[in-house]
Order: sequence, then structure tokens, then C-alpha cells
Amino acid sequence: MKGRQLALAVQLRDTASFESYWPGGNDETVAALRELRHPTLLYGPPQSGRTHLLQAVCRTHGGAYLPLREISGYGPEALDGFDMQALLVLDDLDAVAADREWAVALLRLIDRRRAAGQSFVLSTGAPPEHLTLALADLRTRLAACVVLGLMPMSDAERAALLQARAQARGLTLGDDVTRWMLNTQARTTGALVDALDALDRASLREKRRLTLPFVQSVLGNTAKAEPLP
Amino acid sequence: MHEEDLWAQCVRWLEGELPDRDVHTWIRPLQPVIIRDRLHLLAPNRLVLDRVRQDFLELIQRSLRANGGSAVGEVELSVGSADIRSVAAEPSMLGTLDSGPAEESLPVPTGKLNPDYRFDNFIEGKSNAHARAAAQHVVETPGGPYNPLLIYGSSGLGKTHLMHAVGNAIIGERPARARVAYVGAEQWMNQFTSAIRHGRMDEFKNLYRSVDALLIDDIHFFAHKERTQEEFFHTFNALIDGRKQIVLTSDRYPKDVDGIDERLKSRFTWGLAVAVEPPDLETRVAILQSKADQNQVKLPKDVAMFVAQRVRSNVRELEGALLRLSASARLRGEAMTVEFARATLKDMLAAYERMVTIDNIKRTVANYYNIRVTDLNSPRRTRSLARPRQVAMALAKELTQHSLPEIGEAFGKDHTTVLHACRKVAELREAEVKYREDYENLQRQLGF
Repeated sequence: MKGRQLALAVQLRDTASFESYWPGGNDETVAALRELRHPTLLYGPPQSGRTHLLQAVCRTHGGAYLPLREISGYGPEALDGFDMQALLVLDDLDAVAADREWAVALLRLIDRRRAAGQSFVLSTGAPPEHLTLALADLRTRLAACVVLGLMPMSDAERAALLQARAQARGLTLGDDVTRWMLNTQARTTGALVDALDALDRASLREKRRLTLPFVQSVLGNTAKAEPLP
Repeated sequence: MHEEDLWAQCVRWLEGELPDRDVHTWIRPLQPVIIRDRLHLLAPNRLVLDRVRQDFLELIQRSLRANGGSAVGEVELSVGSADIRSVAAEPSMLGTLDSGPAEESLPVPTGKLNPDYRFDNFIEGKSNAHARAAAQHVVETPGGPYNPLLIYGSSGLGKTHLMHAVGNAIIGERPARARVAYVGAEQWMNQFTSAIRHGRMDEFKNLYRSVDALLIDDIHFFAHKERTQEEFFHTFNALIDGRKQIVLTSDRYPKDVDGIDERLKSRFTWGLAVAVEPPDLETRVAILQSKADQNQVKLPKDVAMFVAQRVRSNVRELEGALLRLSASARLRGEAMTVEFARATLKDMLAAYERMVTIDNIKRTVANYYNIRVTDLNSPRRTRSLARPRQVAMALAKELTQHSLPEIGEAFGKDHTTVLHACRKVAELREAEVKYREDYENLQRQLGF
């Protein structure tokens, strides 16, 4: 147990910055978020790296970040009092926007921020016309943003991402290991990075290189592995 | 040290101790104020306050000690905003209710008028000329024959623009004295219920009955709120009697809104009820040109025409499309041509279209090979079923983010079967034109 905790304590933290985001085919989206000239809506499937990019937006432009899915149980009052923030970032808007009270609160928040010339970034799982929203008025307000979509990656891009992220942690991930991971593990960016985290910890703990048998022994029985703290 | 500098140092210190997410969600929104030599951190609302108290207060105390802030003692946490001054400094806004700590006052009152919504940048066309003329008439003779003025129509057609333009123009005529309240119907309702709860109905009544103009957005939100409608009825009467102007917007003609009292419905149409319709092509082009000018974007005429022909439903979508085009042109260093606009607007949706599901792939493949979706899942291995199944698996691997075990499961097989299918399909595509064409046709049908 102690050994495990020690491994965690010295693990390098992957900061969510634009530099550590693997753009794949999304260079233009990343560039638009870096400059952030207008209110923006970013959409992409789960685990496409949306939250990573939103954290990078906060880091670069100094915004406050509200994870709407997590705080949905609190009700739309959770949006109160943020008018002072020059930039507000709302993640997973579609997790609450089918609810009428939330939709009205979001509508007013968007109008207030536009009136005050304050910026905002919203994220959703799909473009405005494909979302389930309680109010048509909210849909047109979302459509008035610069709408940016995240393209899913190809397997070649996923492999390149895995190897680059491994290298950033001082790990070497051979082609055989990468191929095996892409053939057996979940292939979303988030899941692959989680798998890499597990490998990072295991390699530190066991003082082993990431050979195929070692990686298979670590990831082959992830179900039995201890949950992350 | 100034409290803001001290707090900025603490935040930097905390950034080294906490994950980015915690800093951006719980620490950044806090505002520092020194009251009687003690540091108070103001949280935007109860949720943030509780969370900070529970999880971060100790660390915040440590950050203070580490950054030379011992003199300010223990941190006090409360809900509030440090920017009372800026609210009170707005002469045209009814900011009086907004000062003081949140728990003692009514919730945030009237909204801000958007200074960008003016008559001079409202693009007139057949669809909205009548509404615009009526709104301008109201500015010239507030409390006159068009009282109330009710503007109705679908979302994104300029109702709110006209309403704000009226408010801005009234204030522009008499900047020192005009009292204009702009508020969403549900906000008015929330303030009303809050006023009852806090025993402050007199204050509430005085506020709304002493304005020169009351602008209420989205009155259809009053539906089925009987007590609110009752109170609004009185406010309405008081203002009309005092010849004060009322401007209302609604998403449809009031008679068609369910759950609104008949007396109110009839009053809403006492003055003038005027519709805004979706803009025609010519107006859409003019709107695009005007938005382009506002944003200092050079928009060629043929591109404006191209976009206006494709984005028809509302003005906000036109604005979104224009912003996206100009961002792409700038970032790619390309000229804004019709070809460029065509490709970019297609891209706007392409990412979504590429969110293909396994079910979608199964349907498309079954349809293409003229078999049933259930055949793809069946254990039968005849070639007429096995090939389409392999093709569907290969497409699922290429076009979705699912893992091979997940893809296998979706077809009732294990992941080695999927792997085999992918290799087989790759071989066949190499070897035979027919397979290559089939595969490419399917990719195209799935939006690639």
C-alpha cells in the first residue's frame, strides 16, 4: 500500500494546457480557442478532450470553470454570482439544458454576458441543432456563438498521441505495445490517457520498462486494480 | 500589501497545490476584500461557499501564511460580490436593490440593456419594418397610443434587439433622469416571490411602479403563474394609468399563450401587438453585411449571398456562421470566397456527422448489402453474411472510438474476430476493386 502511495506522490502531473493537447485534426479549433475573440461553443463526443481544452482556456485566459453535469443537482442557482468573472466556461451544457429552469437561467446568463461584453465558452456533446433543449430561445443563442467541433482521431493519430504523452513522462512506448493497447483498450483519448496513467504508476512501482508482457500484465487485469484515489 | 495582490499570490501558490480543475472552479471565483483588517473571501453563491469551506479553507489559510498574509488573520468566507460600486454607478439601472450582501437583499434585479442593440444597427426589411416603426414611435411618444407595445415572433428574429433599442433610446434622450427597467419575465417573478418571502413587497411595488419605462422580455414565461400574473396585472395598470411606457416581448401572439389570465391577455394587446417574421433573403444579406462591418470583417457580396441562401431561419445563426467563417479565414490565412465558405460551413457540421455509432454502421451496411441487421449478429457463417459482417466491423473500428472488445460484443463475437475481420477487409480492399468500391461507398454514406 505504502509503495503505491509513494508512486502517486512523485508522479508528474499532466497539466491541461494547449501545449499538452494533441490536436489531431483539430488544429483550427485549438487555434480559435487560443485566441478566443468571440463567445464560443465547443462540441465533441465524450472523452474527446473537451474538458482538457476548457481547462486550457481557463489557464490561458483566466476564466472560471463550471462543470454543469457535476453541479446539476444543485439547481440553476449554481450559476448565480458569476457576473464578475471576465470569462466564464460552462462544461456539459447539455447535461442541464433540457430542464426548463436551467435553460432559462442559461439564456439570461448568456444575454447578461453579451450585454456586458463579457466572454464565455460553452461545451456540449453535439452542435446546437442536435441538442435537446427546453427552450428554442436557448438554441438560437448557442447558434450565435462561434461553433467549433472536435473531430475524433484516426488510429494513427491515437498511436502518435499515446507515444508523445508517454515520452512527456519519460516513458518509452514501443510500436508493439501501442498497437496492442489500441486493439484491446477503449480508444477514446480519455481512456487511453487513463491507461497510460496506470502504466506510469506501475512502471514506477515495479521499476519495469513498458514491455509488452509487462503492459499486458498491468492492463490485462485492470478490473482488479485498485481504484484511483 | 493590497488584498488583491496578496490573494493573487495565494492563488498562484494554490495552483501549485491543487489540480487545475479545482483552482478554476472553486478558487478563481473567490473575491478578496479586507474588512476591519481581516481578509474576507466572497463566494459567488452558496454552492461555492460550502465547497470551499469544506475542502479548501485549510489550504487557503496555509497559502496565506506562506505568502506573508499572517497579519490578516483567519479568513472569513461569505456569499457576496465586491463590485457593489459598479452596479450603483449605472445611472439608468435600478441598482438600488442589488447592493449589500446577497442574503439581505432581493435577488439580482433588472438586467443590463445591451448597448449594442440600437436602432441605427437594426437592419430593416419587410419582415420587421412594422415592428421597428412602432418601436421608434414609442421612443418619440412614450406612454402614448402604443402602450403597451408588444413585439412577438420566433426566437432570433430581433425582438430583444428592438426592445433594448427602445430602452437605450429612451435613456439616450434623457440620460440623467430616465428610469428604465429591463427584466426577463421569470426574473420579475423571482423578485416578486422573494419580495413576499422577505416582507419587502412595498419596496418591490415602489420600484416597478416608479419607472418611466418597463421592458419585460418573454412574457410567455408568466404562463400558469397565477399570483405573479395577479401582481403584474396591478403593476401594469399602475404604469398605464401613469402614462408610463411598457414594452413586452413574447414568442407568440398573447391570445395563443396557454395559462395566461384572460384579463392580462386582453391588456397585452391594448396598445399595439406587432409581429416580427423571419427575414427575407435581401434582409439576411444586409444583416450579414452589417454584422461583418461591426466585427471588421471583409465579407464579399457573393459570399454574403451564399451564406444568406443557406442559413435561413434566424438572425443569430447568421451571426454564428459569419463569425465562424471569419475565424477560419483568419486562422488559415485564406481569402473568403464562396468555395471557402462552402467548405467551412460543411466542416461546421462534419465533426458531428462523424460521430458515427455502431448501430448506424450496422443499419447502413445491412441496407447496402440488402440483408437484415439481425443477420449481422447471427452466428451463421455463409459468405453472403460473413463478408458484410466483416466490413461492418472494419468500419466500426475505423469510424468509431469503441474498443475492439466492445465492437466484438456489439456483433456477438470476441475482439480477435474483429481483428481478423479488419485484416481480411484490408486484404480484400487491396486485392479487389469491387471491395474497395463497396467500402468507399459505405464510408461516404456514413458521412466521410
